[in-house]
Amino acid sequence: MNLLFACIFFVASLLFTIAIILLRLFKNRRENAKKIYQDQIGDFINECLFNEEFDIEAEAERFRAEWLKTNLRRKIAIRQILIFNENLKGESEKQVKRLFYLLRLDQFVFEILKKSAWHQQSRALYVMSELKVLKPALVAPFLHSKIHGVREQAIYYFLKTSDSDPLRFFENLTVELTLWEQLYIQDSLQNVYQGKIPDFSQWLEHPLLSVRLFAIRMIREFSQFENIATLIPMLNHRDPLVRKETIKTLCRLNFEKLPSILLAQFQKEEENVKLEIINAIRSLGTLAMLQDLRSNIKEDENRIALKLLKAEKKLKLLTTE
Amino acid sequence: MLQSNNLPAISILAPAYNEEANIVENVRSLLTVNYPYFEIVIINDGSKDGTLNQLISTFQLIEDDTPYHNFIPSKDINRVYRSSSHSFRNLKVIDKKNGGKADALNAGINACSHEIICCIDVDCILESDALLKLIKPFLNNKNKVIASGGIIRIANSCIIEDGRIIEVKLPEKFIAKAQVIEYFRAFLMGRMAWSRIDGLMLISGAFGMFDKQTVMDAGGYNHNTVGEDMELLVRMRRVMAEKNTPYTVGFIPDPLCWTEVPQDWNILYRQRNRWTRGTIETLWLHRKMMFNPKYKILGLLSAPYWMLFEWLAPIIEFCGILFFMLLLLFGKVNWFYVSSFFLASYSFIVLFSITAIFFEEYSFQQYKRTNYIYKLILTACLEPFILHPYIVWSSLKGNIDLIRGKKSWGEMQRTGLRNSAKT
Amino acid sequence: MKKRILVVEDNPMIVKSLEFKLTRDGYNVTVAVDGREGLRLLEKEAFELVITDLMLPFVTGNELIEHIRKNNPELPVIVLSTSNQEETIIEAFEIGVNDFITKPFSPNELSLRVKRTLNIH
Repeated sequence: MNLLFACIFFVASLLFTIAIILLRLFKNRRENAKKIYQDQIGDFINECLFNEEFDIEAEAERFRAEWLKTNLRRKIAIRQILIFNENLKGESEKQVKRLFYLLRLDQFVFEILKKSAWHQQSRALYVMSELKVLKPALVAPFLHSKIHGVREQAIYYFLKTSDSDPLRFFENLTVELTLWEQLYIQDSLQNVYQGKIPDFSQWLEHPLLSVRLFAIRMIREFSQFENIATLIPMLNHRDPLVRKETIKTLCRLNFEKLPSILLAQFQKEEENVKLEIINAIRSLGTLAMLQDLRSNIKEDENRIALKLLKAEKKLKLLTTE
Repeated sequence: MLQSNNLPAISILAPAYNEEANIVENVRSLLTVNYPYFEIVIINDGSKDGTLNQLISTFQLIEDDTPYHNFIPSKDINRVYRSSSHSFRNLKVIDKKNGGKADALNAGINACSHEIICCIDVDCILESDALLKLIKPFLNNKNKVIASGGIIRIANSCIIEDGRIIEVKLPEKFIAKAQVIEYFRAFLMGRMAWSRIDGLMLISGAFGMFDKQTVMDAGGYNHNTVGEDMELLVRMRRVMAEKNTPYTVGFIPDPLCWTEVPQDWNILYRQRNRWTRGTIETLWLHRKMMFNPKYKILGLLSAPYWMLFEWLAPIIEFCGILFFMLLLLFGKVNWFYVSSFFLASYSFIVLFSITAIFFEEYSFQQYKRTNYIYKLILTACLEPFILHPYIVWSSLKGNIDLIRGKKSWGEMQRTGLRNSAKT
Repeated sequence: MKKRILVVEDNPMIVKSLEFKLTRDGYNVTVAVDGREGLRLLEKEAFELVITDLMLPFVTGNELIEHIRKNNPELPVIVLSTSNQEETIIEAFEIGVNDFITKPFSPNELSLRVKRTLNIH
């Protein structure tokens, strides 16, 4: 019995050892091949961009037929094109994008999108966003993907490729956005999206809580002062998260009446909202207001007491300077 | 990789005790971490050498009188410092009375500013995207995330410049190479699997991220155990389970942090001795969870696993050897059975190690030179004879020391990672 | 005699394109993939122009430029960098660079600016 197990384990170890060595040899070979391919496609792209006597269309056709034969080569070609696209602008950038279609790599990407594993799909979506391949109908279903990585890339695609109304996909959203996705959207709006920033108040009544919170936050980040009046009633919203976010936004938008409203509300609020109120009064209110709050703090509210102490100190420092 | 300026701020907490030789370099390297918004809190835990003075003079520290409150117990803080230089404005140094690692971290938690904390060993080397990766589970989860950790790698013999790994090298000494295999087994197979079923009991003290409020609600680090990193996570999980709040512990299957492991048999002995005591103490403190269905995976699977394989296994193994000696003495050994059993168990452990190497080779392949894998395979074959018996012995002594009531941490002497690497 | 240009840049794609384009424009191009190698080449050989990135391994672009200004004040330097922050650009001009091009860049424009810089000097 023991001998049998010994044999099985021994053979299995041996097999794994062989597998490790083969894997290493395979990876070494593939690494070498990759380097060679990279150089070849790189040379070709450089010829296309900088050699005026080069007949791009004919050469691309020839290159595609003779060289672009395996999927590894296609993937490396796409990666190189992305790198060129990222680093170049002007005429050269247009030329690189044109090359992507001439080599029919768009067809290859669509194929991946249709049937490959999720990480490849997510990569394909990324390629389409970066090269601005306009196929929104093809991408839309991925907004509902259960896999975060794919959903993220689909969101990114719409932000990157749309000229107006980049958040239209909110309408079809059925699953709450995670904080990560919200950050991702915000970041893309600030750094990637080129068009006009939408009025975020349109999503204040959205069925998903995460979208509503996101909208309140974006009113703040993009300084949409015109929405102050719409936000005021939300200071009494039943959800403490909404109240907290609203306080933060109104504070940043310098809504003058905020401290006096919050002063009245302080006592019945819960801990996290109270902390935010202290922040708001420190920014927009007076030292006297902060000192007023002190009498309202219960004995066991250490976090709030500490926050208040810090706020008073900061405000004193500001007024003496 | 998302680099947004809107990511939540993080407080990095690093206790330091008698680190005069490397502290300045370590802090400089931490300051270059790739993350938009963080503060570094160095807690000088009553060092007897010039650690504090080094920090004060290099980083132009002045007293910081921001109020703080001792939410969780820790020894008295003498003074909190911040830098007067604009370049180091996110550096804070806490000088306190000596109280051990757990105590130092608690002081850091009390005095730090941000809601997400990252506890690290001051001399470990972070991958530049480590924080960006570790924060992701906190933001990308439906459940509340209370902690997250990643894969830890061994830095011995690697080439390091300015706090960055320039070239990954396999350690030269056998004792360190064997630990490379141990770490492969622990991180690539053990923790990966536990995280899949959300049964992680340990986020290594060398590098882990926590939700500060949950840590404080659980009472912070425990001063009375030498396994404070494991104990904390178990207690946090226990508190969440008792409150019936759905939660998750994140695990990032990427190498994020490089650390030096003991290259000296004595120091290794002390480390493992301590790990054993820490495990037993944690299991004992939380014995209520053992086999208790209320704690789900943790009570039914993780805790029993730790008891059986981390605590009892060395004892059982030792008893087995003892019994074998007895048989030998009375001449009652069935040699056929002994040799076949030996072969079976030996080939099993080798298989286990080889599988771990295979996963490493398949996924990260961090040891780039081809001859390294031959060395690793050889190490995997030798490890059961050389390192393993020593580990068993260390653990056994840990049990004995615990019964005798030994509490000390055992000072960890470091060979000075960065300096040694430059030679 | 062809004019000699030193390109200090760690992105292989950019290195290749610059090499290709500038060689076609009729220059003699030498490449260094990090700041340390850049310094080494500057000690050893003579160049008519240096094109450098700012974020480089081992020795940063700023250190490299300061070194050039100290030892060879007449040698023109063009910076090619991803940073479009005003501070960085002003700082670079303060330590004495002759031109600043931000990435992503247009190779044709770069070619013109190289020509202009070489003509002035």
